[in-house]
Amino acid sequence: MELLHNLQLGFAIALTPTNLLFALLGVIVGTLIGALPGIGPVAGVSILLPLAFGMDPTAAMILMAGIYYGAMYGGTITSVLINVPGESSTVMTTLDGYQMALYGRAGPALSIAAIGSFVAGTFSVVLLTIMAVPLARAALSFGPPEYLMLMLLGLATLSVLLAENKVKGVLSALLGIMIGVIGLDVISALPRFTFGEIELLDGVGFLAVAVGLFGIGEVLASLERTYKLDPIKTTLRDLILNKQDLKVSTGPIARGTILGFVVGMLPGAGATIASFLSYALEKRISAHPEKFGTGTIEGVAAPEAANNASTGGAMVPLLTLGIPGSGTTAVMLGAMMLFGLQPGPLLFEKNPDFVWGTIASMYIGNVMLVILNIVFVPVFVRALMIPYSVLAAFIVLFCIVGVYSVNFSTFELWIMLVSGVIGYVMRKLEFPIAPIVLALVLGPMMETSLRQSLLMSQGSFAIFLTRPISAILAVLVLVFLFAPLLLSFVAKKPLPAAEEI
Amino acid sequence: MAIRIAAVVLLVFSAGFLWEASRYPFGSPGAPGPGFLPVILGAAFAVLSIVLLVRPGSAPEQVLPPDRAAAVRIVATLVAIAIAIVLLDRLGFLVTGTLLMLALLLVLDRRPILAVVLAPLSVVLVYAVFKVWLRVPLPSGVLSF
Repeated sequence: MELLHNLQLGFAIALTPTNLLFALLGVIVGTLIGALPGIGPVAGVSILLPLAFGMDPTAAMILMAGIYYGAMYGGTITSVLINVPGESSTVMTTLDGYQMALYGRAGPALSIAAIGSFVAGTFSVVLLTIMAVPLARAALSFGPPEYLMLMLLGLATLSVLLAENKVKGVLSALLGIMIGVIGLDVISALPRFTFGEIELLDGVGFLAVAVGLFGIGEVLASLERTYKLDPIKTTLRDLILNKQDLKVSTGPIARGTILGFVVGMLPGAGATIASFLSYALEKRISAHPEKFGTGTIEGVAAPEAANNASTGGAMVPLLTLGIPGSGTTAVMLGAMMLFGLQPGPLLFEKNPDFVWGTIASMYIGNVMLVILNIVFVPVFVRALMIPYSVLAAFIVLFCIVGVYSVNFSTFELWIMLVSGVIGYVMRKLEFPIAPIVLALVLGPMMETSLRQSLLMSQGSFAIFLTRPISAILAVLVLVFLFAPLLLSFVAKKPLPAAEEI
Repeated sequence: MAIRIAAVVLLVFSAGFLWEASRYPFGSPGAPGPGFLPVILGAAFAVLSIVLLVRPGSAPEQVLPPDRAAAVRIVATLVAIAIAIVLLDRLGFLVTGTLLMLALLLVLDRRPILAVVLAPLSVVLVYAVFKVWLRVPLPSGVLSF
């Protein structure tokens, strides 16, 4: 009953005109950002966050969440029609989706992706609704050691799982924590690494860094490529699925949903890994695995369900623990703190409007998205015709306005510009970028937890191993960090499987 | 090779970071001071930079310098943004934004008529949404209203 009461509260908030508008804006922008190569959800969320500065935090969160899961829908359009993944989470969709399009079945591919996304997205929000409160209650017993290990686990997973070279991944994460150290020390109030610069006392703004790395950096990198997008044409009538399509897709969507939600909940793993695993799973259990990659509809349904379900999963640790597991959710956490919310298990008790309003908006947003992505696909395809040379100018303009709106300082804009150059160089050298943003947001919290833990134990690092939950997490961190490193030293060649992800 | 050069740059960076970090009280594990984490971070960063230097891994294919035309686009974009940042507080958002869009569209898109139409239009639209509707105080500058 408590659950229904909470949902009722949530819907009352999510259904106010302003919040509905922000949900709609979020999912439209999300779909566009997902569809357009050259701009992703991290940049999208960071650039558009200032739109909600004049509003309350719930509206901001509804907007950001809409962009986040909307991007999962939109990425499909580009994957199927152009064979270019709009996001890394839709790479697997290109395999069978584009093949279907070549055989004139682009419509069914888009439809099943939209339906699979809707089922998975909605079901993952149901799971989020059910699990959130019990998890938040369980997390109340977590102390600084558990939090430190959870944050380390998320960072280690994100840095190591997606990086072709693990060392580069860990270097990125360390760089993020190092940037996070800049500013007044929380405990002793001593200014660190500020070099007498007053603007640095508050630390380096995560938004300026995120927009620089993901917005400006991506634009610079894209200016090197000149790709012409030439989408395969579809009409509304083509979108209709036949019975056979639906029948064979049911299983993959169901399995993709569960898998995606679970993977999404894990710190550091996310939509990309979820879609990859789900595709691999379907191929393994299929009666005709040889058909995968030639345009089979299961190969579209499963990863599309998985990447959407992962967004609901990723919201679980964000809302219940206050610990994000990806670049996008890290920006959301930073935004919550900008708005003066205290993320963590107490959020459900202290700010029920915020949490339940956001969760309820995700139900509404998914309904909006399935309609948008079936009926308005031609409109989004039109957006793909905008030349990148024009789009790039707009992205730059929005980056500047967005960062400037945080606290109206041109100093932050310089940080954005420098981060943009760093992001460009990192892309060229294939350093993963998301760990920096996650580490920058988590860094100050990690330092506080570390120092509190050591104060509690009077300097003994054993505290991380004597508390059972902390010990389990610590072992996982070590396994994630060092197993691949050791393996790459032992084996002459780097592991091929890990590189393909 | 590019990765090795990057590794050396990162190593130099970590040395500088460690040098600055060593100026803050380190404390002890039982009472960690403000220099505690920075020193650990700097040391770990240095070690991993050396690992990268020794084993740079397979060279990524795209580590080629951008071709001339692309390099011009990239540098021009960076310069345009830098100039815009300098001008923003002096000339305000409307003028600066229009100049920036004009410059970017002319360099990247090379259709002068489109640029002249689109630049002021987009900036006024953004200004209207942010300043008038959402009440974000963008600097008005010389064209205040």
